[in-house]
Amino acid sequence: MSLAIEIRGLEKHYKDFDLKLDLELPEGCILGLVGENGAGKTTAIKCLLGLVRPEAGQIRVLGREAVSAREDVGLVLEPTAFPESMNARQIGKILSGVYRSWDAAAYASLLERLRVPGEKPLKDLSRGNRMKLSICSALSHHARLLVLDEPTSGLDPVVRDEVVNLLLDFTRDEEHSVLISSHIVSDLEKLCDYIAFLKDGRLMLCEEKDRLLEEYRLVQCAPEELARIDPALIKGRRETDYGVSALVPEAAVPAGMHSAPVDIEELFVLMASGTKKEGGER
Amino acid sequence: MKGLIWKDLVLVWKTYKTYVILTLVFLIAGNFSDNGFIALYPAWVVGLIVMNLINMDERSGWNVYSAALPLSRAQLVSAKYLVMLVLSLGTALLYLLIQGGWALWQGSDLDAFLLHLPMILTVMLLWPAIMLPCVLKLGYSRGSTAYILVAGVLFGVLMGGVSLLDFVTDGGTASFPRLALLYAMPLATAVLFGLSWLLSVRIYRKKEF
Repeated sequence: MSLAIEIRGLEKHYKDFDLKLDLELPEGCILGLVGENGAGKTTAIKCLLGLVRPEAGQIRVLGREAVSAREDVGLVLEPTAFPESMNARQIGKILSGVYRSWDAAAYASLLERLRVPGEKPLKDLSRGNRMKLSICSALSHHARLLVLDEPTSGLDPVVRDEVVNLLLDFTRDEEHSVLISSHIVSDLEKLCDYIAFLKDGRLMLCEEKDRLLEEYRLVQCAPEELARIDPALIKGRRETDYGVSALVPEAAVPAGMHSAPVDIEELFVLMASGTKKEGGER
Repeated sequence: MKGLIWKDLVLVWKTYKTYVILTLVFLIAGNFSDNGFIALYPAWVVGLIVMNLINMDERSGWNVYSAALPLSRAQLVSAKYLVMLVLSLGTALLYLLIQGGWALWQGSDLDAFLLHLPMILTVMLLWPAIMLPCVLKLGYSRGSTAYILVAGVLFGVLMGGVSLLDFVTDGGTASFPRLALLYAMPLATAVLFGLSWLLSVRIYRKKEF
């Protein structure tokens, strides 16, 4: 199996934050990078794109050094990283002078399909249209890997759905892969083959989404009943006045204890809250 | 890299049309005034425009996005220096056409024109040569504080230039060897501009976003 992204022993240190990461994205798959604000998602993406220099580790993209693979990587980093006074047609012209494989016809067709005005300056476009424009530019140079940092945040559900469908179209080609970071877990649930969960700069898990959903169960019971489960196996818990919800591997759920399937959003929320009990104990 | 240069030139035209028109007005007005500021203003504005292009890049996130494109850091920096040179040469050409042409037409003021030209070329390249590495390293906001320092250096250079002008003309018409000395100023500045480019490439290669 060839890898679209291979990150080994990556370390990036800041004064108040450390990122340590090993991550793989198989070619032809979509990997969702999930985590709270400050978990290290953007730092991981910046390391991948060469925007910051890691202190240690190796990053390979599409089997090559990350820098030499840039021609094959489509980027969506901000709603639009282009000057406000420019329009979509002018942005196409800039990028045609940057990417050797820029496809002006594909760009024009994508703009038309997504109804992005070609002549309106960016400052007059809605956030949704700006995001669609970014995605059009990322998809118009025959990229094999898309890297998207929070592409659906701040978008209305209709536009989010359009973006999700566009990304699904992109990955119909088996050579195409996507790395997407997002807070909107429901979008990732629709899109991703793999979910990687980052917390405090560490990778808590990275697994196939379907396996993840099969592997974990949501246990809802009284706190004293939860004591029947080995605390080391509890991946996350949330206590309320009515009892406790805990994320537990299916194999660790004691016979007779009630448990329910978990969705990605619950899994994310529970993992993010950790094993914290009321009073802040960890 | 041509995409980068095209982007900046389009932005200059879209955003700074007024400055371009103002430059023309000042160059034309300079024909009717002995005030040195009027002749130097367009030279000063050229550098200001390039600094503002960097500011716009930072505000829109283009600086981060472009650093992840299939372009080297040296290309990103070189594009800014090339745009600076294109704008400077354009302004110098306008200066030649408008003020030089006027002097020729009038037939009497060519000496004054020849004496002002090196000063203008010096100002045009000197302050961006100092400012660009500062702004590329520290970002527009923090880098711009270097403006005060640069203004001080330029003031010193201008004062030196005025003394040199006095020496060259010695109260009368400039002689060729003395004029050559005056023209050494923009040449030295051009060398400094080249060194500034090398320094900026070095700085930008190490920059993290």
